[in-house]
Amino acid sequence: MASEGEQTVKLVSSDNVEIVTERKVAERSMLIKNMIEDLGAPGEEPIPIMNVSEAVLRKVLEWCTHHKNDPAPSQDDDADSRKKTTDIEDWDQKFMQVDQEMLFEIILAANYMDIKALLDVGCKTVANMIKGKSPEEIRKTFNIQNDFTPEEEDQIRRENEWAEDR
Amino acid sequence: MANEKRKATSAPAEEPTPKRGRDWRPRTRQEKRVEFSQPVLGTAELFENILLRLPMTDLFVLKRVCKVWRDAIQDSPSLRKKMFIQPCAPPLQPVPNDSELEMMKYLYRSAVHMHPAAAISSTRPDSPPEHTATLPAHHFGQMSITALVRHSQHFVLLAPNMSLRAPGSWEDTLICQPPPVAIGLVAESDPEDFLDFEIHKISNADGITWGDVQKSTKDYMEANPARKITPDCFMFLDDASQTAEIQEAWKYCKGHKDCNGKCGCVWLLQEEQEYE
Repeated sequence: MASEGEQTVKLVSSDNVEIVTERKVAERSMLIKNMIEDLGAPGEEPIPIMNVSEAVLRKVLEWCTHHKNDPAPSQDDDADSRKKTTDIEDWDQKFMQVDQEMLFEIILAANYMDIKALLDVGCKTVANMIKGKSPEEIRKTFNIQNDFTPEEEDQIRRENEWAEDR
Repeated sequence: MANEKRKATSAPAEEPTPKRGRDWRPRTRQEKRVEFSQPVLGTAELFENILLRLPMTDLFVLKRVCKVWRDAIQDSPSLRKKMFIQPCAPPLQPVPNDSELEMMKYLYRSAVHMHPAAAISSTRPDSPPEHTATLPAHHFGQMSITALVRHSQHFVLLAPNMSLRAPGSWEDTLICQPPPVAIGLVAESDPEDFLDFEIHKISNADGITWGDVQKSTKDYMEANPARKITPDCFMFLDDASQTAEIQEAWKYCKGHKDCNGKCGCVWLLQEEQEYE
């Protein structure tokens, strides 16, 4: 019998592409980990990842492969420290140098597949895109329509003037 | 059986991404961007996860982006806590205790997050006035104030001069997190005599906001025109029973202020605005 580290699992993307990967890599995803435990016989039955396309799934697995030996984060520092920072380690930063389409797809996939650390990196990346920018720049970055009337916007600006003079 | 199970466990969480046909193509670059950022920024949980990483003042500014962002920021309890609009824990109750230090320990048993626009002045009773330190509160960030108290026997929280500011959302922000329910404002009778002052108590059972500080200060000044109140200087206390200790601390603080801006609190408070 093969040891756990050598076991492989078959994943099926939303566009029906089968990807074989190391079990340890795939189990960075709590969704997959729980499914493997439920199914009982890893490697045989393909696991459908319904919401994630092949391109995104491969990208996510690339991240999981690099981080397969990371220690599991403890519940405590998860709640506290992760919210505070926008620091991203070098490898992750390079990994996240993708177009906005892929970036948001990765975040959705990490959320759906329940990969906390990847979701964390994704959210930090978007936070860094927002940080220090004016509302106008943010609208441009994410192509958001300004649905305030000039009067309404001015009202909010005046109310928060103290926070605006940075 | 196995198939059914798989279906159940792999069902999409809540909001499945919209299905796109094989021949689906974004019409323009702009539409494409909307398509992909919306599922993330439009999901409250993910939106919060991202915005919780930003500085507190940014959140007030971001309310201007669009109505969806404004509402999402206003309606999120965790963002409201981060913005000091909602207490992050039950407000801190003063304890009847003769020792100011003991009470502070009680208040700050757990880490208190100071309002990023505030500053702390701390003094040691046995050190000369020039050793008084005034630092922007964010230097202490998440430092436990118990630790701060251990270093300095007294401290005074200096508010940015809010009374000069135009009315705004700052009035609704708590002075620190979690907020205390009572603080004392230092009111002098004679600027030449440091030791003649009284403590004007401000309280709010829901936690003291900067608006409370401003309003209470204004009311007090109107009712006591002879007294000169320093609206940007107050202390945490339950009552005025520790007058001697406070006088000692205040003396240093006052001396510090007289340094004419060289290293005084007021100067630091102005610089503070550039930090945030």
